[in-house]
Amino acid sequence: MGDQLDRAGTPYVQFQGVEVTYNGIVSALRGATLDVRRGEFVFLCGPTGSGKSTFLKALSLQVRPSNGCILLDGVDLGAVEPNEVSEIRRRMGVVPQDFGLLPKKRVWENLGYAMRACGRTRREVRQLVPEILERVHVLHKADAFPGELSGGEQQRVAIGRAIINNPPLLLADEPTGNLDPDHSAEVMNLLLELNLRGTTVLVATHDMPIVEHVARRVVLFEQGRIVADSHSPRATVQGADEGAQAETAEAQLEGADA
Amino acid sequence: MLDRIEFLFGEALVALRRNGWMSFAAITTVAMAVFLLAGLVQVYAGIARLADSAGKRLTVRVFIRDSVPDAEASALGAQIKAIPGVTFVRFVPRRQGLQEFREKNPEIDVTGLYEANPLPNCFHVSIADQKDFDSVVSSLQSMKEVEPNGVKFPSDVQEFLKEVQATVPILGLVLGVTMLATSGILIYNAIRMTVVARRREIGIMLLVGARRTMVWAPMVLEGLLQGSLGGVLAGVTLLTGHHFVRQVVQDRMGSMATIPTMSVGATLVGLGLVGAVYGTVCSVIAVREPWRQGVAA
Repeated sequence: MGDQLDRAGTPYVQFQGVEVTYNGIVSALRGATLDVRRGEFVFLCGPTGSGKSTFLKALSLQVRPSNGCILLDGVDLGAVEPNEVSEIRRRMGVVPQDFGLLPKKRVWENLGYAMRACGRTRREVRQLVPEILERVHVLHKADAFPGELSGGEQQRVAIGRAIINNPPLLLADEPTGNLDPDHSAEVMNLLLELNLRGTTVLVATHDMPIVEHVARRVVLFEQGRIVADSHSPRATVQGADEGAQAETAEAQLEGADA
Repeated sequence: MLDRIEFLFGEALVALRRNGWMSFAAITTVAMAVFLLAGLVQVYAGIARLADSAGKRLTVRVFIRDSVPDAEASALGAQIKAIPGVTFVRFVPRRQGLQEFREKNPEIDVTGLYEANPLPNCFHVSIADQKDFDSVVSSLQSMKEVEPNGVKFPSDVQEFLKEVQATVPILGLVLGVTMLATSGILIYNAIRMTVVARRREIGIMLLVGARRTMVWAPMVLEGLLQGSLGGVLAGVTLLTGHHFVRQVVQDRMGSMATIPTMSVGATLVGLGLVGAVYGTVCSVIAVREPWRQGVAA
């Protein structure tokens, strides 16, 4: 906590003119620049193909920028050696859109397997898995297979797996994309809970009702560019469609610039 | 550490089971390849022993000039017996020679030949040790009573053994190497199939921060297990085959049988190790590329 206060002024995540090109042809990110402070909850919004997922992939070292610089807690991710990638990834939890659960493993095994792969012992797995499942409210389903769970429960397991290393940063790509409104709200509440405990959360989504309901910082992507940033931890975008949000956010930015 | 090793081996065993028939094919092909190559060494050693012992029991036939009277010819026996290295001499008079020829070749009519027997008087000379062979032959050839080029060895047996000695390794080597290459491809394919089948899983593991060794080591271990199981299977087959052949040879030849026993432990461990090294090499080649690429989710 003290560390957080000491570094309150330093951005935790910094994107500086980041460009990502797939196969040297498709530009997925075109000069993205963004600062995220420790403990923030940020929605990355925008239509499909706007670059919000690529933003998360670049941050989690799944893709490498062709230009620009990404800093995580002051560490230049572009200078990270291949054998250091695992260390960096343990500092973040990634929740993929399709949950990415292993269908032939039970809920607790999905977490346990990931923990074992990260070098945890069996004793640690036995001790920590129930705690994590309790935190994500699926302990009662510990022995179920992913196929026996609802979409919301599967997503909560995926979030549970993302926090096995107790990371200070959580990246969620369309966490409510496959869920009905009730389950979406459940998952979002869980992410907010984690954020309240100090985890920095970045959520890529185009689920506008959720964004409006949760009311946190909104960064808007369009064709690989960041076109708007509400830049306010308590900004409300309720009742606005994406275009209107962009205008609102731009207006906020213009106001801030002025 | 022990905990980690247990995890890695556990994952390798799960992958081995998941790959099912592919694992079975890889293991059995490794087994066949190792069996052929190891069996080849055994067979080659056996032939070498046989050739050696055949050489030691070598019998040379010495044909006497027709100009030498029969009585004088039979008296040459003592002179031949005196040559160093000669252990046994048997005189075969021309009439007896014809008789033996008729017995060996009943389909050939030799009745007319009894009046003018074309066969010369002959000695069967046994040489105990192969190293004396050349000196005995040259001593025999230098005798004036012996026909020019009148010393004949049972070259057919020797030639046959030489041919076998030359052919078996080549044939076995070609088959063994072919099988080894096939098994290598099968192990490679089995591991690559695992990589493809578990692509998503691998991606997730890498995303949660698993070290690359923890992700790839189970697959290398899977190859190692396939190889060593194949090697041990080859060992079991070889030992069974060896035991069976030894039994048959002993039953037929009694105390003459010279096939030595094989050490069960050394054979199984040795061939298991050979298979393990081979399986590891193949699987390392299979995961080298995805390892470098870092397979993303």
